[in-house]
Amino acid sequence: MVKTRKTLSRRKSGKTFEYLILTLPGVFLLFIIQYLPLNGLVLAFKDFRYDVGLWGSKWIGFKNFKFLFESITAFRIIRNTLLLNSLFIVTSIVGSLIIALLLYQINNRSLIKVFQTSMFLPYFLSWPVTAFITFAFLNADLGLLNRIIIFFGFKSILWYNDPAYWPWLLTIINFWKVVGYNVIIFYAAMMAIGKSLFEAAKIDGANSFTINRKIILPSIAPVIVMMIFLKLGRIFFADFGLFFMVTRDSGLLYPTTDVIDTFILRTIRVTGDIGIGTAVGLYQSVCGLIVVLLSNFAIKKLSSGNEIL
Amino acid sequence: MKLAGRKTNTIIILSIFTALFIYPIVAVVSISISHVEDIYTFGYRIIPKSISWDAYKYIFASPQQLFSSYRVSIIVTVLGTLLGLLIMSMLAFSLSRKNFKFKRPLTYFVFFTIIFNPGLVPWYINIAQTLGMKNTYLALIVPYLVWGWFTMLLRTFFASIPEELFESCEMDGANQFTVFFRITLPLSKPALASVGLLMMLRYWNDWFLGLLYINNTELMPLQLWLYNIMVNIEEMSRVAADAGVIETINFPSESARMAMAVLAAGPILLVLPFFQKYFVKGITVGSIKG
Amino acid sequence: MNVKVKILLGVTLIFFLLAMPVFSVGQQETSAREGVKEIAQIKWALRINPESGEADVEAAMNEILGSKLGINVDILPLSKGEFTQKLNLMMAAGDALDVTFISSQSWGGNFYQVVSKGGLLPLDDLLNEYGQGIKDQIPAKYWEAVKVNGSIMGVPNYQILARSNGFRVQERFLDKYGYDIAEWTKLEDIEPFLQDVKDNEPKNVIPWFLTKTGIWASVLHYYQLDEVADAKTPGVIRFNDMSFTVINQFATPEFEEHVQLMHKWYKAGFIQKDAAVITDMAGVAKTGNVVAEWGNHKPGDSADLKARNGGFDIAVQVLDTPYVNTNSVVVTLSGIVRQSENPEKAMQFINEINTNKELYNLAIFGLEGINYNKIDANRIELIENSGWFPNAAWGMGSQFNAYLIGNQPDDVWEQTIELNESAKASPLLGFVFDPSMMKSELTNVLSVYDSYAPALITGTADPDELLPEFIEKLNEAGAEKIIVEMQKQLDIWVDSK
Repeated sequence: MVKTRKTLSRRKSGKTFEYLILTLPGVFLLFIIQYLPLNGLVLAFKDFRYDVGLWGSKWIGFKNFKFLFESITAFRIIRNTLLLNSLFIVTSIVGSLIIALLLYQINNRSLIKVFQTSMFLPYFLSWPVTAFITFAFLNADLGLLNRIIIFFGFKSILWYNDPAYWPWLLTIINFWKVVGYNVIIFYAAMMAIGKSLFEAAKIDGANSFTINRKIILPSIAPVIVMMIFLKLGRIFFADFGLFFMVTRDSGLLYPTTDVIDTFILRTIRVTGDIGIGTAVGLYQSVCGLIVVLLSNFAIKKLSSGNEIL
Repeated sequence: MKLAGRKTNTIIILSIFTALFIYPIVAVVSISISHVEDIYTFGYRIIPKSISWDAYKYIFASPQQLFSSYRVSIIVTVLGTLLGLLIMSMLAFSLSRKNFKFKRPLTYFVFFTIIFNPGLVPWYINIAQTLGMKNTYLALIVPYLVWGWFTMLLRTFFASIPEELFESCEMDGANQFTVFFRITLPLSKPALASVGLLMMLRYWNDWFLGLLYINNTELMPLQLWLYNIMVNIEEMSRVAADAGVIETINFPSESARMAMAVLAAGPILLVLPFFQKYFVKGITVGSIKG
Repeated sequence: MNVKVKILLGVTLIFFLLAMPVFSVGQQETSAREGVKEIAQIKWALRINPESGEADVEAAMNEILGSKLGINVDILPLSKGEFTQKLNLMMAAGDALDVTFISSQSWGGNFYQVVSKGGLLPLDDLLNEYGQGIKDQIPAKYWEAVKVNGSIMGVPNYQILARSNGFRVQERFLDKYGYDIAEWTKLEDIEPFLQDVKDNEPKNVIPWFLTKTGIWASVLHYYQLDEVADAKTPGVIRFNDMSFTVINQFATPEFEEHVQLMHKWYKAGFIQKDAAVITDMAGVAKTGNVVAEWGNHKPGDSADLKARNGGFDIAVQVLDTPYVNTNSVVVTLSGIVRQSENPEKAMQFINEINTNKELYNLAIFGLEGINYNKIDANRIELIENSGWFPNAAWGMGSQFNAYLIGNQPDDVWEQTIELNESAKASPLLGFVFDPSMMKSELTNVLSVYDSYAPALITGTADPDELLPEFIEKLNEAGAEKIIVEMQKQLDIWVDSK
């Protein structure tokens, strides 16, 4: 009895050792690439100067953070960031889920490939190119969309001059760009579902709606939750390319398109203070962390054992 | 019969979706072969008024840099994706196992990197000076080898593999390396293919690492080269407008931008089917076990 | 489990502490290569694209520099899009670098910010000791313009400094509708012509082209206003106001007059509908569809203008007095970065590139017989696609040493010097506003400016509705505080003179 326990514990510590070996390269790389430079976060509390360097620069407490809240735009940029990011998360997750489910229903392999590839294509395009296509669509006189509008006898719309359109335009553009990416992840998750489950369901005479609800969704739920979770962690960070390039940094649109990250750019352009940029970034991270820890806690309460962290 | 009808509906819905998705892409291609003058005269069109290869001719006028940049990008993408996928899978595998003692702290360790960024200056100093990677392939590969986001995703995929499979394998006395290579990897082909594809795109589309760490044109990745050309066009006009100084450019700017996007995306399209064959229905737990 | 977490955290913490010295590297390199070497390495950052043939050009330059001064120069080309970011990073990291191109404006580098953060070395002593040649070459009043807090922080790349703005109009349209550009003395005078163009030309011809930045910055002097910081930041003084009273330019009758005029033109259809979001002008101009615009004029620019406008001749009519102010001098400078190991040699190099005609022409045009051919003693012809042609003579040194190319008139440099010297010098020449007390206000004001100004200065918005709101928002954002601070600093500066 004693002997077996010993071997068991030796097996156990041996197992831990094996796991550690497997994690070692990844942990090491994360450490040197991501964690080493993190001590640069002290910049957030410093008045950085080139001649004295990071450690020689003066400590200034929370002055850099105060800068964000002294800005007359503070409320606007935080609101826009959170609202638009929430909109993006909901639309892109729900949309790609639906598309993945539809894709899963067809059996024609080459059709699946065609659909997948086409939807994935927008993700290949860089933000500058996306911005340019957007412009090709929305341009006042030359744009594709306006020419269609004029063709049907309406007046052309000055898209870039009216902030009211942009929450929706940005949501559509973001959707267009990332949906293919998400579909690939969800579809891959569906691949792992065992065939036997479906056969059992078919024998029971379940229709496709029930199959979706009872089998597919529960099976890929962990992946969906993880995707939402990862996005929530960065909900205070805005996609700079989308908000700066696609909007052509048009000041007229700021009421709905100005976000924390464009604010950082503007601040650094005026002041040259990288300390303020670091401070705002730290603020975004800490807020993201709080959101994530809260949602983790919520998951734990709702279904213990499924929490992510 | 009813079932077939529903299938047709599904296909029609997806086709409409796809058409909407592809429409702007067609615009990209068609602008890339348009005369710039036509664009300003007749507006942007899906079917070009007249076809001009000027943009491609311009880019191919000095093909050395184009080919050298393709080579750099291909090397970086292939090495980075293969190596990164292996390292991340190993890490994610351990994190997915319930009987791993340090599962929780290490998950936190990985997850923090998704949320906290060091900021540009420390990140630059670390890689350029501390690690001394400036102007080497390492600077283009190492920083993206492990990414928290993909690691967490892989962990989730791996966690869906039924626990009994591991138990029976461990009963047979297999160590975790065997479990990882013999069970987890083969069973996760769709997941590995999808994350691999996304990783590949991350490497392929990246210009930022090059921008920061590469001063040497021989090591300039494709996207950076294209990015530079594009920003230069914009800078010229912007600065000229601000400062009242003239820099002349003889450049089919609009169409060239689109042509560059086509050239950048093209090669990925060619490799896509290779990945797709792993996530087209067919590979299931059952088939491997059997 | 908890104990283990603690241990893990502890280990991580130790690693962190061990990694700390990493970040003092800013100062690390100083001692590394000191002393023994006779030939000093000078790394020279330029805002140019990488070009082939760089090594050959450097070798030829080093032949001159090596024997004469013991310097070996290494050009670091940073292309236009990445210049500012990379330069600022290199300064923060203390990467090997000695001399850099730098500008206060959109050309890149953020001169004033870099200076205020200690990125550049003061040059007064170095100039006296090693830079006599360049010091004598540039008139003393311009050296005033590159002083920050009393120290010279950059060497001007001496060239056209005077700004003289006016109409640029395609001659073919002037001829077609029978107008004489020389008769126009006010902005409004062009109106009948624009109307004719609008009425008779096809829709894609743009009578009056504007980008989102509008022309406000370059009509300031036309309206007899002189900026204290820049045209976007509230704070100008009136020409000839010897009391130096700082006022908010956006609240002046002149600004209202200007935006009313632009709005009138916009409504009349002279200006593109989406001018408020247009950033790119080169593409449209090249189609030859831009009839008239407002811009800066310099001697010998007719060929450039023609090439830019699709090969159509451009007539120029200058409407304001040629003018030199601080901004027109600090637009292109050479500076010595704080991490330079060899500031003395760096200054010798700056002096040499500005005074040695052969060296300077090597840098800007490359090698004779390979990159260009000489037509006569002072005029050259570029060999196309031969490699080195960074096209940045204005950013490398005194342009008056450059060979002539294209159809630049023989006396283009004499004309330019004459224009510089005859130009009116701003009474504020040499005053630099220190923004460090006003960071919040300046950022707030900029965001208000970005939200309102493009619509107003391109005429897109109706000033009757938007202008009062704009002024009110500016004041909320701290425009008045900025002006008070400017006045304070300016009064101190005036008293000290």
